[in-house]
Amino acid sequence: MSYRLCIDIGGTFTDLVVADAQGNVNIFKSPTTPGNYTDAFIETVKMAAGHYSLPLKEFMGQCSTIEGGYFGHGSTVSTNAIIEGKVAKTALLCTKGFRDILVAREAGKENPYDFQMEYPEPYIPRYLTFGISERINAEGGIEIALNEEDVRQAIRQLKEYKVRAIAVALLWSIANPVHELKIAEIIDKEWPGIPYSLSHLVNPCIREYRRFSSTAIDASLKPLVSNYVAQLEKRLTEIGYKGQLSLLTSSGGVVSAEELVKKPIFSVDCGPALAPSAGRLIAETDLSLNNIITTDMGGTSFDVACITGGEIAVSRDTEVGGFMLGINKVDSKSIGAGGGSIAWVDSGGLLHIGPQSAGAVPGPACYNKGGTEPTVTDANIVLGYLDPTYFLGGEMKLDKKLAVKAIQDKVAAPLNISVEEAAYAIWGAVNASMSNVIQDITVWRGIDPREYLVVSGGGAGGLHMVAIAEELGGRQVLIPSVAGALSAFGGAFADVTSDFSLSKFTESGSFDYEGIKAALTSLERQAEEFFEHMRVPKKQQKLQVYAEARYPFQVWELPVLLQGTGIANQKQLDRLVADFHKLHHKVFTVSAPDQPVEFVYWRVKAIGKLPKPDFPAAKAVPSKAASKATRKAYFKDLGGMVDTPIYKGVDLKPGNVITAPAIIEEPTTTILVMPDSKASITRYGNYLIEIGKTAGKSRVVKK
Amino acid sequence: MAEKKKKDIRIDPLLMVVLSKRLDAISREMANTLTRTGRSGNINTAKDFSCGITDAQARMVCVDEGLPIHIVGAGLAAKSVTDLFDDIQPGDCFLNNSPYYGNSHHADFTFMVPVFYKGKHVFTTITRAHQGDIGNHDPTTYMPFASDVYTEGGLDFPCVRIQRDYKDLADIVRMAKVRIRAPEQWYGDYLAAIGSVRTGEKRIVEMCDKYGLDTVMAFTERWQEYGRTRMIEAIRLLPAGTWENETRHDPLPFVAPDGVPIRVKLTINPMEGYITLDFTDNIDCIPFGLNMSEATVMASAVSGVLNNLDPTLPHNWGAFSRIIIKVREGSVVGQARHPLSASMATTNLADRVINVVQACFGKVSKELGLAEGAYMPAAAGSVFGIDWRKNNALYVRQLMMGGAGGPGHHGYDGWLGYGIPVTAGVVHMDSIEIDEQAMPLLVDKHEVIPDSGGAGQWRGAIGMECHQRPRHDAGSWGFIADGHFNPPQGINGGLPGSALQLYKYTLDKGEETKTELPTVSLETLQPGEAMISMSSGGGGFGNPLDRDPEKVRHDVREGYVTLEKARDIYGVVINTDTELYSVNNEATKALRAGMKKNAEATK
Repeated sequence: MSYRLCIDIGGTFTDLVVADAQGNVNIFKSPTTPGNYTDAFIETVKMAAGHYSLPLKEFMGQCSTIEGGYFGHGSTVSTNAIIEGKVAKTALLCTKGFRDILVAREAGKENPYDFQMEYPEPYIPRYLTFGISERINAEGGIEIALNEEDVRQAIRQLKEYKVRAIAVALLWSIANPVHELKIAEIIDKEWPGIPYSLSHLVNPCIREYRRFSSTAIDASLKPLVSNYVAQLEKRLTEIGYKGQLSLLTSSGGVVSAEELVKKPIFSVDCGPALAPSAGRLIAETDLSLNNIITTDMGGTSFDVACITGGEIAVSRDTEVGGFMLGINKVDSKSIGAGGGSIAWVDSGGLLHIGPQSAGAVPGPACYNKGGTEPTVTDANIVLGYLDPTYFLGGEMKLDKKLAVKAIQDKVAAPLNISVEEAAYAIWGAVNASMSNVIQDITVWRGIDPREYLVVSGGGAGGLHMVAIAEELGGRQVLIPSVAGALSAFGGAFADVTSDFSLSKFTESGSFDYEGIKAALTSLERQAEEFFEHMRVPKKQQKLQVYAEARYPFQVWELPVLLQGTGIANQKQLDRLVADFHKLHHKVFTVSAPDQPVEFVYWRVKAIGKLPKPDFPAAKAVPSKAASKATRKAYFKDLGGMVDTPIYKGVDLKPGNVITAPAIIEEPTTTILVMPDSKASITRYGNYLIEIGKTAGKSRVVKK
Repeated sequence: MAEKKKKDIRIDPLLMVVLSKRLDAISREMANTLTRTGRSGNINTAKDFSCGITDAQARMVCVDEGLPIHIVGAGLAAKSVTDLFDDIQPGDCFLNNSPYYGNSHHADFTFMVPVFYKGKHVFTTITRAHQGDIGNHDPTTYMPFASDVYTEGGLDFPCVRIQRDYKDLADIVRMAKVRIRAPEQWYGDYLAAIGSVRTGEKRIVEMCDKYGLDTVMAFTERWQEYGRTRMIEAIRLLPAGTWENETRHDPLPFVAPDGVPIRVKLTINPMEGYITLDFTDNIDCIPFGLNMSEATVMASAVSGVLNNLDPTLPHNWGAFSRIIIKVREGSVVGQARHPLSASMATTNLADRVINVVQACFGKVSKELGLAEGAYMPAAAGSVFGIDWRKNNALYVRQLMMGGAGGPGHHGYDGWLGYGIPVTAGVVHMDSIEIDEQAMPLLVDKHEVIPDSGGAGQWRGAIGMECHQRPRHDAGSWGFIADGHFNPPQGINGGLPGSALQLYKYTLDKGEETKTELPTVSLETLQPGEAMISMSSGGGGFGNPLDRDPEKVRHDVREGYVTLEKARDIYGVVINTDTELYSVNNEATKALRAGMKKNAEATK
């Protein structure tokens, strides 16, 4: 027997997903232990071993790669360190005259009339930022030679300050890395062993602020991530694990521990990045669909990502804790909307949800832990969607009276409406916020969300996503049986992936065939080395090549997928140019087919495809045992509070079809089957909600 | 009858939220389209544009978080469409850049699409963006020395139709292409703007399909009422009274050797929920490009008020209608009369207007008011020349560097990289690498200037120093800076920010041989010559002797304030023997007590 498993350490819970050789999947959850992540890690593994009635050592042995098992792991350790400012003390060596690139950022403030904000501190303090005399120009020519003494002097000072890592970022190092490389050489000689990062290797992109920021973050994570990985590997060996550890990355794949320690910035936000991988796998297995929107609604935040033709959208425009990451990362957009989001009414009578959250303490009013502000969870209680006696499978008792009081006092009274109407307005308003986020990452990129399947994860998703999908005009929502641990599930079956890119400017009018060939060859060589290192068999290797292109004078590029792996002749170039015009038109509604196209970056994505796992499909044998009782729940279309059948999810079997209105209760999630929709249990045990013919028409305006 | 029917439609609280979020999302999508597809740096990097939606009566319904100078007055441009045309139809798009017809100034091209639903004009989508070039006599979008529209030399589009039936009117586009430098860049920006207004149109139609026109129109009325209520509530929190304030723009060669004074009389009427700004006591228009247009007076005056109020107030006509602006015809702070030039109506005097209004609130209460924010830095000038790397292709752009300092105000230090009052930090700074790739220029330095922020209990933000020079061929640099003679003032005991400086020097002779340049000029820099721009810091708020000593320590350690100024101005004694420095509390206490006593004595 061998097991595949993946542990995802999130902010509140540590999720473990275990799949046995037959593809049966189990989920284990325990609270995350801040400060000592490995404890929660070991604790959860022990729970799983207990479940399979195996001694820990034996269980770990069967998970080991050399036994045919697999061990994936993602952790919020680096994300939290950035947000809480607990990264290593790091210095920045930069081009002289440009010490303020991290201070000034790119400017751009949100609300022009809001001056009640503290200006953010730079990621690396100014006193730890050192200008080095040198300058390279846009063509890679040397304007000012490197002053090596500046470097040595800075290092002497940094030793005194006892910094733990050094970021090296120079202007135009992407056009000519010679000075960064020389500085690396000097560091190795003067201070052997101090971790450092070079900007042209961490993130070879134009736009100094983004590259400098990536490099600063990467260097600051090096001590932390390498310690974490070393500690983890030691503990794992102690409990009987043999072989390689696969670590989750922010681009939605896995790499070896050794690779991640080299570029720890790719460990940031790896959890949310794996939810779309999970959504893709589940949707492809269960429904053979590959245009997917994945969502994850928890207690405090709502994350959404998009997959088109099986390809997960990535973006370089991402921040963590207000700091620019700048690397290619799964394009997962997050807003502060969750069960704990607080509802309030302003002086003009407009209802708002959040951004404040009641969090876990004091939590929603109904938690009876001292919270008096009405939250989304309180609204769900008042509407009858949640059973106060069956929250978290009954582990936690909620007080409906407190929920009613909070909503009555803070929302219903100021708006002069009934408490049910107020609760419904809260529920609808949070849905509107979430559907707007989905529109931002689909419609803005030329994607029609109506043609996409929504895969809904997270504990709070089942009560909201069907209504949101309907609002967007969608027809199907899939709520996986592993909805509560989507990221860990994604990590258990992730492909091995890594991106390799470089900046190489050319344009369609005078295309540099030789230069681009050389550039792509070097990227492919890096990809091959990566495959070799990760021991990906030849037949599972896949390369995708992207050109990041724009019109003259534009500065934001669109990634165009090459049909092959290179551009060798006019015909292939024409094809690429035509694909760019088409993409530009699709995304922005305009194109300029008679204008030349500029190519700025080249990117090779190396994918080691995991052979598709064989999940067991059950025969459809509907069960009749699942019906619990009825409860009053609010449906606007049906005139208010109506008797609604309640079903126990664990007793439903493939083939069961639930007609609306209904509520299905699972231990970690509750699903609202809205009028005009029906739910069925798929062969793989997931819930498929199909939305009726009236999809797209709003219910809100009906009388 | 129809009016009554509209009011009968109940807009429940949920629908209010849903539709307001929907409209907000539409204006944000319009802005996203423009940023991602625009060609000139003003649009794609600096984001010097705004997008919004008005109703058919040209009342602002919503705007994205655009530039303050664009936002409030945008309705005036929309009004020009319905005032001037009686044959508007679906598929039309209008272009207005005329300060005489409701636009801000010539460099802002405002594109407007009347949105029709079932044959009726219901909304207008608006995208206003600062262009890279507009065909002025000089290769810059700012013509300070122009006395009138003829000497500006650029194209005036007094609200003209530029698309019909969703197709370009080719003659108008051809006119623009012939008269605008780098026409392909301009046409790219044009396409981006069309994409933006058309996206807004499409989404509004979808919204009307989904919710029904009557519901959407009823919502719009409720939304304006909501804005009005919020603004009245905000004004009710203020004390009643009338206050006056004055600031002064730097001298202008020939036309205003003593500078241009800008005066305001502020009246707050909390009982009825109105604020009145009276600008009638200002000098007549000058034969110079700085006269303000009606749109920019409105926008900058209202900004000065909004900067003092709850930042979550909605930005719609209902809210703005509670601020009454009085101007005198023919005044610099009035409405530039054709043919007098308003080439620079969006910056210099507009910056002074925002400052004079926001700082006036400091007289209302010790906890209100913002100091003056910094003025136009020289590093944000227009550059022009040829690029030997691209077969001597022309380049013409406005650079966005040298971010000047924001004002201190109660509870908060100024915002670094604020730029100028009319942009309020919203405009993005250029990437040096992007600029050096696009143009043959080199930036030698871009760093903050210690001690430049006006001292105060809450410090004005520091200014930045920027060195720029052309490569290979000569280039022309246009400056229209302010704040050299009249730097940003502090309020309620805060000190002024540093004075703006502008220099030129020759590389092989060294920076120490630098000479001053006039701050309003058009200079040719030869290869081997460089300019140095030192922008102002913002004014400070409150007495520097009341500043938290820990903040002073942090400022000193980070190099924002020198040890000497910490002691002499803030009365804080810093020990430098530890890595993070420390405050010598006893010495500080004694020093501050002495300084306060001295100040009392000299009063």
